[in-house]
Amino acid sequence: MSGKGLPPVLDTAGPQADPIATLSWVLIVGGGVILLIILVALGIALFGGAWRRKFAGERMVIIGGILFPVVTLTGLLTYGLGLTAGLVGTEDADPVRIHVTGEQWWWRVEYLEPARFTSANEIVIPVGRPALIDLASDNVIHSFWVPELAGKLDMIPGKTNRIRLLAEEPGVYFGACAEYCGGPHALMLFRVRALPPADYARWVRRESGSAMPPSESLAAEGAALFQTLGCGGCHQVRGTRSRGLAGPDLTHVASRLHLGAGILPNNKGTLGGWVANPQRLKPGVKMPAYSALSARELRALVTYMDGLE
Amino acid sequence: MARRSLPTLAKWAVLLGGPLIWSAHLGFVYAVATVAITLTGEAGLVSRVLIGLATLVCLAATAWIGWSLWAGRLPRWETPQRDLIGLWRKAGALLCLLSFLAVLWQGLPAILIPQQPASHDDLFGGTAPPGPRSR
Amino acid sequence: MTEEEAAFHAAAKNLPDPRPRPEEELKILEEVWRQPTGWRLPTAVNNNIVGSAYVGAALLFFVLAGCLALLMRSQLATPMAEIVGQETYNQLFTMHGTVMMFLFAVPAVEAMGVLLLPQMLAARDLPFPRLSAFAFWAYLVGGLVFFTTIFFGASPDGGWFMYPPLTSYVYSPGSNADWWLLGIGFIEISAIAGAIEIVVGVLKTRSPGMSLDKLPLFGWAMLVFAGMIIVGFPAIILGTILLELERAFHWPFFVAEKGGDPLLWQHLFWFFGHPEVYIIFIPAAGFMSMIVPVVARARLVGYRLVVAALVATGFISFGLWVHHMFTTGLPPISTGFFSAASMAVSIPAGIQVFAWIATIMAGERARWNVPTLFTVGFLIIFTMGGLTGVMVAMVPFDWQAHDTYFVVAHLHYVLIGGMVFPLFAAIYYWVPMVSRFALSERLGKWVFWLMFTGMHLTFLPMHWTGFAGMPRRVYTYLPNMGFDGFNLLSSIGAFTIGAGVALFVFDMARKFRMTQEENAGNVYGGGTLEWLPNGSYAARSIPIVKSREPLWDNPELGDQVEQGQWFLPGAPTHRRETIVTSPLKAIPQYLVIIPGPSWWHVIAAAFTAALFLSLTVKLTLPAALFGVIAIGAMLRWAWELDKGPDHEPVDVGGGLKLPVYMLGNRSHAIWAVWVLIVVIGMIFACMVFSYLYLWSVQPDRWPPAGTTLPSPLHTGTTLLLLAASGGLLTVADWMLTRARGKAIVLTPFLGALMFLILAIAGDIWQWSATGLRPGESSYGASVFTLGFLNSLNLFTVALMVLFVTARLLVGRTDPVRRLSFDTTRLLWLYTIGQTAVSVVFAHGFPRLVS
Repeated sequence: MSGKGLPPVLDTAGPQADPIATLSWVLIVGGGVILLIILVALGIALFGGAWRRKFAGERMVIIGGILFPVVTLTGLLTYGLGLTAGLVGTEDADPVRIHVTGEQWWWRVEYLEPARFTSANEIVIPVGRPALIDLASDNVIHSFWVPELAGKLDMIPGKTNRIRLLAEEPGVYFGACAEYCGGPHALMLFRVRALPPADYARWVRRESGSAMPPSESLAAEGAALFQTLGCGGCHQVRGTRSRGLAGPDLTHVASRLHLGAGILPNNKGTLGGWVANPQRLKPGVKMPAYSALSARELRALVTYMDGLE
Repeated sequence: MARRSLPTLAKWAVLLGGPLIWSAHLGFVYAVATVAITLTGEAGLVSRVLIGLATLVCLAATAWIGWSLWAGRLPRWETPQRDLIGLWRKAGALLCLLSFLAVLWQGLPAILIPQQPASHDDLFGGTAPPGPRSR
Repeated sequence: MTEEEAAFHAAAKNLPDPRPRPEEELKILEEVWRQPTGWRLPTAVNNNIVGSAYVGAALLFFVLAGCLALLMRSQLATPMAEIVGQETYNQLFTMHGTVMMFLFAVPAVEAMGVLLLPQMLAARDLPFPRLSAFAFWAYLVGGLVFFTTIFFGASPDGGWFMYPPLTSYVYSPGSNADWWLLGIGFIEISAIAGAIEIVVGVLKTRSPGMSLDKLPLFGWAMLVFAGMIIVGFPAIILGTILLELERAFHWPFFVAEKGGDPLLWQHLFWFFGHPEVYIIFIPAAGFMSMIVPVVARARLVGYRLVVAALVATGFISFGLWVHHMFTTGLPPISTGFFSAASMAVSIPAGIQVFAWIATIMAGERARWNVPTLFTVGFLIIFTMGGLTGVMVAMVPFDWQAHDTYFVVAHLHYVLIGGMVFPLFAAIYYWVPMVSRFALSERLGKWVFWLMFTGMHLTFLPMHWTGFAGMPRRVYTYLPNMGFDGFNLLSSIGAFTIGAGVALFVFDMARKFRMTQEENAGNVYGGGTLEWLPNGSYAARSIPIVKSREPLWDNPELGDQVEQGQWFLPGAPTHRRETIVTSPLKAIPQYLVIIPGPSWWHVIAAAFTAALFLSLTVKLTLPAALFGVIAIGAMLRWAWELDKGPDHEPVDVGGGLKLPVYMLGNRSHAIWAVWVLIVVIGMIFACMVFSYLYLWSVQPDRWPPAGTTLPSPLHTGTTLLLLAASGGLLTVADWMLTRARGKAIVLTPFLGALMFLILAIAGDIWQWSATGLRPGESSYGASVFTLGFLNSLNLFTVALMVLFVTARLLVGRTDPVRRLSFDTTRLLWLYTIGQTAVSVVFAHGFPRLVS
């Protein structure tokens, strides 16, 4: 939420959401006025003097129940259809292209253009340049929603939907799965980070590359442990032997803001807690707990992963 | 017996004439748009002209039935009964009026919603392969 | 003027007849309508008893589902709480929605229809009282078993909307989802049974002279309600069939890899699910149109406009289903059509709101009794829900609001405002009709204020939490997202509502004492026929209705009715009976004999329940046994019906003589079969839609490569077999009419059945001979499901044929007593038609598009 204290749907940050915020205000104010009119009519009916009977007749029904709504609704419908057309009809010359898959219960993010690489649970886009994001799922239905940037759009098996995100200001935007997808649906969150173009270019260069090799001995120990424990069976760390695709890509996990699909701040403490017992932090998550690790092993593993920037 | 039941059904059909036409219109415009998108990938000009024509026909039909009801020309009663005539006149005509409006509104998207820009040819409902799938 | 009309008008001149009635007449009437007591109580079929029990059961589920809501609100009061945990929460919200919609809302309004309609129409009972009793028992047993799954953690957890793939066999392998399908299966059966009852009841058993223009608006509302069930429920019936076929046999309707589409379910579900909202709102609007004039002491302003509004809502609400799918990425032009329809549906709501306000304005100064309070509360809350409804009908706004707490707020404003408040007004208003005491006005005001403030406290903040980004169906939320305080408010509000409901339950326990004869009476001064003096036989005599509020216009009517001065003051055939009238003008046509108490429909209901339950836990053998018993009980129940013209035409009063048996299109039984045919036809139509929909998902693989179609020769053979079946059936009909010997009727009759079996089974065999398999592609699944639907009809027809054969053999069916034969024939002819269409369609469509 911004300093104005308005909720994200009303305090938007891009052209795919701004007109909807305006529309929302029109609807809220208009609806409020109509409610007031009806309450006044009801108040007169209940408390008015005998004079009120003059108005009571079919004429009132026809004016209040037919004429007035017809005029208002015709206006609204035209407004709404025009807005729909505007929001889905924009043509982009040089979009960023991303593919996001809804998983149970996290987000697989594949950057297609300008460079091709994989990440998870965080989508980074350049400020001022549209991103076209293809939304898909090969399991159950999810829905992709970043209220400050756009309305939501579902991810449905067998179908690819495309959403356009355009952030006008740098920032971190909250996103969530909005379609019930079973289990810990409540904890399937993500963030969209909009970076200024120069930062974005730097980010792409680093993020598209392979993982950083471990820099200290404890980290190296952790890297080995990562292999022996079989973490690579589910997770990919590019540049190593870990090629698993069932779970989130961890090549640059340390550069992300959150863990567990947008639910925990990313630091050594939460990372350790997550590895030791993810079920406690996110019941139903498909990652097994590694509670048998010794404190040192856990520290090694965390040090390694914390270095994957 | 079967002969007698038909006029009763016909009277109902007239009373419900407006909403029945409205149902047919909604079914038709939805089907035309969907079939056009299934076959050509886009609700193109042909489908929009068809939707426009159907809208005009349905508007004319609801207007005509509504007017006939209001004027008391529909339906014919073998033994007229004032209250039923009044019900058909007022309720039937109002149903036609509401259906007229709804049909009119349902025709609007064909004019107001443009075709997709070419670069978005697979936007909203496309099934184009999304690039490399991880699995 | 027809003969019937002339006879009626002649008799009307002689009524009311002030001469005293013979003394034993009332005794016989009371004896005939005496309610079973003690351990025989479950055999009761009278609408007073069944209706009251039905309403009570619905309220029980309301309280139970409300408790689930309180658990949910406890969990959500604070962020990251661990009060019920995720798995339980997912079951809780699924059950809350399912139970509220299917076990409370629909049954509650249907129950009010069963309870009130015969009284309002001054009919002695509904035309098929055992059918309503069957519906009630099936609902009660099934509903209770369904609810208990929550105690074993076995409840469905896929949401009340049950979207596949989440609810299909891959992601919900346990039996939880099957319980949902079971629970819904029951409600489908009882809702359809109730709808048949209500359509025929409203159109055919009105008081003489009560033309459609004098039908109380609740009657109109229930007529529209029943019509909507008949058109809307088939979609969910088919949906549940398809989902269960997919879950049990892996027929891929919703599995994308095999050509299915998850969105097909959404279409089917919402084609039912959106009208569902109006299915429960329309009867509630009917309550309001009955109660508002009474609290205002003025006739309703714009009766005919309100009739039009009800009918318009009934239609247009079927054009809104896609607005639950605005975020699925449908083509914008399609969403536009449905956005337009969503706007249109708000006009009839506006008409009604203004008609009610205008009526209050026209009346005397409002009396602030409890029905008035709930009426005013309804108007305020419902208007607010209606306005947010217009908001979510705007496609771009819905992209933001959809599946957030904004929608939770909206739907509760509409449903609590539009259904619960009117229902409470109705309960306070009508309890004096069936209870010795009215409910307490003093406590009632507390109930109202607790519920009213609790309602706003709970749901008003949710609009904001939705805007703040809180999705629906979340078992918890992170702190500091801007949701915390609002959620706490909502939870406090929920408990406030709970307190109001608890107080109401307390008052019911204190004051509600079921009675017909010594009821508290017309406490609020209503003007319609349900306030006539009443016995278990309803009104003593059936008056001629000359206005919309007969009791206001003729203050002596009550006494006249009680003294038996109008039609049918006794039970002339010494059996339960009521007058059947024509559908538009309500001219008396004949006297229908109504069945009385029995165990058979109770056994049928119990074993239908047992059948479904054992299928759910996959006990196939017991299921088969229970199925046989259930069917046996149904046949036994039907065996006693169709008594034939076993009594001379009866003088029902004023010299009007009515026959006691009727064939053809005036018969209420034929009407019921027609309604059933519409239901079956809609199921079939929904399947054709599904087939076409799946084609549109993958037009290039329809049929999948390598599929051969049955040759046109096969198509022709099937059609010939069907024609032969129809031809032989007509011959049997002829022979029966001409009173030929049993063998001469039965030979073509059974022969016709053989041909029908050959046609339907043969068609399925032809398809499987081409190598097509239902489990391999959505195409195969669709083709075989068409055959499956035809087989279901065949099964029903075959049972009826055996039944009629038995009746023919023992002489219970003959040239004049032949309703069983005629109803069978009607359903049979329909089956032939449906099969022919499905064969031509399934064989022809792939050729057409390739």
